[in-house]
Amino acid sequence: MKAIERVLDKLYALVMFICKIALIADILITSYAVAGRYVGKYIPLFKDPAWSEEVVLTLMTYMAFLAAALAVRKGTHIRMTSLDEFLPKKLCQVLDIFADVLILAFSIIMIYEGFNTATTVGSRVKYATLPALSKFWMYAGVPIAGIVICIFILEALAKDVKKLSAKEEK
Amino acid sequence: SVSAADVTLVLAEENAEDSLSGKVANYFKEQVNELTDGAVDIDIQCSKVLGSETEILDGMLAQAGTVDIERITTSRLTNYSCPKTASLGLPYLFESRDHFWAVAESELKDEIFDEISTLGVTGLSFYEEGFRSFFFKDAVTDVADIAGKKIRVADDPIMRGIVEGLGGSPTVISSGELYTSLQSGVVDGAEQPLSPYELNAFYEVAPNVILDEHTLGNAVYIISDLAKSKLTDEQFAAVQEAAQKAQEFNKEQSAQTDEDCMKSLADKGAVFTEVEDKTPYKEAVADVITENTKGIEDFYQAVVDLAK
Amino acid sequence: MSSNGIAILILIVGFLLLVALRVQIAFAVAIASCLCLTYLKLPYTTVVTQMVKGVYSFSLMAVPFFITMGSIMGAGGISNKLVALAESLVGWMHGGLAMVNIVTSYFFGGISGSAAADTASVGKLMIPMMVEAGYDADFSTAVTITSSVEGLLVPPSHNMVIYCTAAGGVSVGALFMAGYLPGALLAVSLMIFSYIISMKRNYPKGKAFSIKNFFKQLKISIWALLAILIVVVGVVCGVFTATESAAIAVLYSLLVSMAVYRELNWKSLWAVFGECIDTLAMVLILCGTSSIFGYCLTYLHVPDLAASAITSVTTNKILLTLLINLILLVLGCIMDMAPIVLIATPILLPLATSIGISPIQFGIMMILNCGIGLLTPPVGTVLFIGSAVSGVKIEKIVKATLPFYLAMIITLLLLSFVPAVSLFLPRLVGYAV
Ligand code: NA
Ligand code: NA
Repeated sequence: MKAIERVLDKLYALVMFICKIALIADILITSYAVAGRYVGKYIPLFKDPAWSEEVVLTLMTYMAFLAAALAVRKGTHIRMTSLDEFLPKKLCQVLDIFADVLILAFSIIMIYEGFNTATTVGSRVKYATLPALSKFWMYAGVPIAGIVICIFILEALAKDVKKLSAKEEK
Repeated sequence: SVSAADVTLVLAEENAEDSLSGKVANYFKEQVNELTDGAVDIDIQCSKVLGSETEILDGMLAQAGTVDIERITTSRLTNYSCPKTASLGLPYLFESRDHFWAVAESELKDEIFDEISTLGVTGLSFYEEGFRSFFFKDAVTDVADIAGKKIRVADDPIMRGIVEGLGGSPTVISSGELYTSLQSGVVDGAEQPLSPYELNAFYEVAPNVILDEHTLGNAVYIISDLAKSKLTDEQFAAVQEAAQKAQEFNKEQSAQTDEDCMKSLADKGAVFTEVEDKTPYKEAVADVITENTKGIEDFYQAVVDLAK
Repeated sequence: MSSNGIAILILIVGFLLLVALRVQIAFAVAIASCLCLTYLKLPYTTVVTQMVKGVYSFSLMAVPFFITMGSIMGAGGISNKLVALAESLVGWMHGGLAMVNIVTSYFFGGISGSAAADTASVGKLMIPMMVEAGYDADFSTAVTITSSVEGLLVPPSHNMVIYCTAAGGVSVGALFMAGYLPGALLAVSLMIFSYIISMKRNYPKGKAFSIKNFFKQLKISIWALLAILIVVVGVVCGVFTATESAAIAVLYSLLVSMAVYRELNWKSLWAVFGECIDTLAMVLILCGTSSIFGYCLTYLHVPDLAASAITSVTTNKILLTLLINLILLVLGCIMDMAPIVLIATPILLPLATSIGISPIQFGIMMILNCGIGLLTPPVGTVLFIGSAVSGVKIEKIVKATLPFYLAMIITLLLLSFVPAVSLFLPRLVGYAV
C-alpha cells in the first residue's frame, strides 16, 4: 500500500508539473501575441502568431481536465455538505463511496468516449492554423485526464471502503 | 421537440431565426412536413445554441447523434480535407451571384458532394448569403488605405492570406469580443456579409464599408449518415426534394435581403464605397489562390470558366 | 407525459438528487447528463465534445490569468500595499473595504465585462485583504461575488452584445449607455446593505483619515496601482482585449514583485503557480461539465418551454413583468448566461414589448436576472469561483449572500417598473429608445 502511494505521489507531482507548464505557456503565448501585434511590423521574428489562440485554448483544456484529476486526489471538488450535520456519520461514509463509484464510472466514460471522439474526429480534421496537427489533440485531454481520474478515484475508493469497514469492526 | 412525427431531425443553425439562413431553415422545415405528410419533422435550433458550425460537424463525424442536419460554410471545410468544396470560399472567385448558382447547378455539384461524402455526411443543397466585404472604423476609400490596418479574421488561413496580401495585419479576435474590440480600437476593421453586419450592429462602431466583395458567403446543407439511417428511402428522397426547394427559396430571397440591408444600413449611417476596379485586390491575393488550389487546378478552372 | 418531459425530469431531478447526496457538483452535472443521454438513446460523444467546448473559450481564459495575477500580487507584496492604501482612504468607516470592493467592481468589472473574471481578479486580491482586516471570509466573498454582477451592466459587456444580436439588431451603443445607471443603482444598494451588515457584525474601523498617511501609502503602492492602471487604460484605449490584459497584468505583477518589491523569488513563484492550479482545479472542470448539462437543457428546449409557459397565463402587466423575471431567475439557477439570453430573448421580448417594456429596458432586466443566476446554486459559475478563491464552502457563501440577493431583487424590481432607470441616459445622448 505504501509503495502504491509513493507511485501515486509521483504521478500527482508529474500531473501538477504539466498543469503549471500549461498555465505558464498560456500566459506567455498570449502576451507574445499582443506584443507581436505591435512590434511584428518592425521585427519579423516577433509576428503575431496565427496559432496563438488555438494553442492557448488546447493547453487550457489539458490544464482544466488534468487539474480536475488533482482535485479528485486532494478531495477539493466543490460539493454540498449542508445536510451533513443532520446525517449519521456512517451514512455520510456510505455516500462518499457512492460518489466515488459514480466518479469512477464517469472517468471510464471519459476514457472510452474521449478516445473514440479524438480518433474519429482527429483522423479527419486538422487545426486551422497548424495544419500539421490533427484535432485528435484537441479532444485527447479528456481521455488522458480520464485515466488519471480513474487511478486517483480508485485510491480514494479503497481508502473510503477501508474507513467504513474499520468502523464496522469496532 | 414535442411533435407527433415518426422521425424528428435536429437542424442546427448558427444565425438567428430571423436571419436569411433562419428563414431558409424554416422554409425547409415546412417543405419537409408537407412532402412527408408530417411523418418527418425538423427541429430547428438557431443562434449557435448547440455550437458553432465546426463544433457541430465534429459531433457529426464522431456520431454524436444530437444534430442531424446543419449548414456548413464551405471555407470552413479547409481543415476537413475537402479542398474542392473549400475552394468555393476563395477570394474574388465569383463574379456574381449567378456565377455561384451556375456552379451549384452544374455537374461540378456532384464532385463537391462526392468530396463531402468522404466525411460520413451527405450534401443536400447549396446556400448563399451575398458577398462579404471589409468594414472599418476610419474612412477607407481605396485599397491603399487598408495597408497597416489591424483587421479581425476568424482563424481561417485563407482570410489571413487576403488581409496580408492587402497589406493589413490579420488579428485573431473571437467573434464575441469583436464589437468591443472595434469600439476600443484593438482592431481597425473586420469583414462580414451585410446582413450579419447589420444584425450585430457593427455599423455603430465601424460604419465605413468598402464593397470589395472579396468572397461570396456560401455554404452547403449536410445530413449525417446516422440521420439518414433513421429515414426510409422515400422519406430521404422527400428531404432531398425539400432541400432543393429551400435552395430555390434562398436564391430568390438573397438578392432582396442584400438590397434591403443596404438601404436600412445607409439610413443608420453606414457609408458604402463601391470598388470599380478589383484588379489591385485580385493581384494582392494571387498567391493565396495558387497555394490553396494545388492539386485541384482543373476543378478550380472549371468553376472560374462558368463565369459567363 | 412526453418522452422529452421524462428526459427533462431525469436531467434536473437527477442532478438535484445527486447534489443532495453529496456528489461533487462537477461530476453530478456530468452524470445527470449521461443519464439523460442514455434515456434519449444518444451516444456519450456529446459528453466529450461539450466538456471540451466548455473550457475551449478565449473569454474564459481571463479567469485563470486573473487568478494567477491575484496570487502573484498576494505573494509578491503588491496586495498588502493596496490594502494599506485602501485602508488609509476608507478605513475610518464601517465596512470601508466592502465599499472599496463594490466600487472597484463597478470600474474593473466594467472593463472585463465578465462577472467571472471580476470575481477571479478582485476576489483573489481583496478577499484575503478583507479577512486580514477583520472581516469574515463568508461576508467578504458574498460582497465580492454580488458586486461582480455590476460588471455585466457597466459597459463594455459582451453579454449585452449577445443580447442585441438575439433581440434582432438592437443598438449596442444604446444598451451600453443604458447600463451605467442600473449598474450604479446596484452598487449603491449593495453598499447600503454592506454598511448595515458591517455595523451589525461590528467590523473594525481603522484609524481616522489623514491626508499625510494617504499620500505616504500612495507613494509606496504606486507600482501596485500601476498594474490596475495598465489593465484599465490598455483595454479602454484598445491596446489589447480584456482577456489579453489579464495575461499582461500577470507579467507586470511578476516584474514588480520580483524586481521592484523583491518579495518573490523563483522558488516561491513556482509554488504560487501550484496554488493557482489548486484553485483552477475546482473551477474549470465545472465550466466543462456544466456545459454538457446546459447542452442537454438546450437540446430539450427547456428555456423555450419555460418562456412559452407564461405567454398565455395572464394579461396583467404587473403580473407578467414579475413572471418574466421569475422565469429568467429560475432558468438562471440551472443554466449559464449566454444560452439563456440567446434562447429566451426571441420568446420573451415580444411579450415584454407588448406590455410596454422597450427592448433596451428588457435587455437590462435580462442581464441582471441572468447575473443573479450566476450567484445561485446549483449551477452558478461566479459562486463557484468565489468559493474556489476564498476557500469558503458554497452553502456558507449562499447564507452570507442572502441579504445581497435581496438588494439585487430590489434593484431588479426598480429596473422592471421604472423604465427611466434604464432609458434616461440613452435618451439623454440622443438614442430613440
Ligand atoms: Na467585487
Ligand atoms: Na445559478
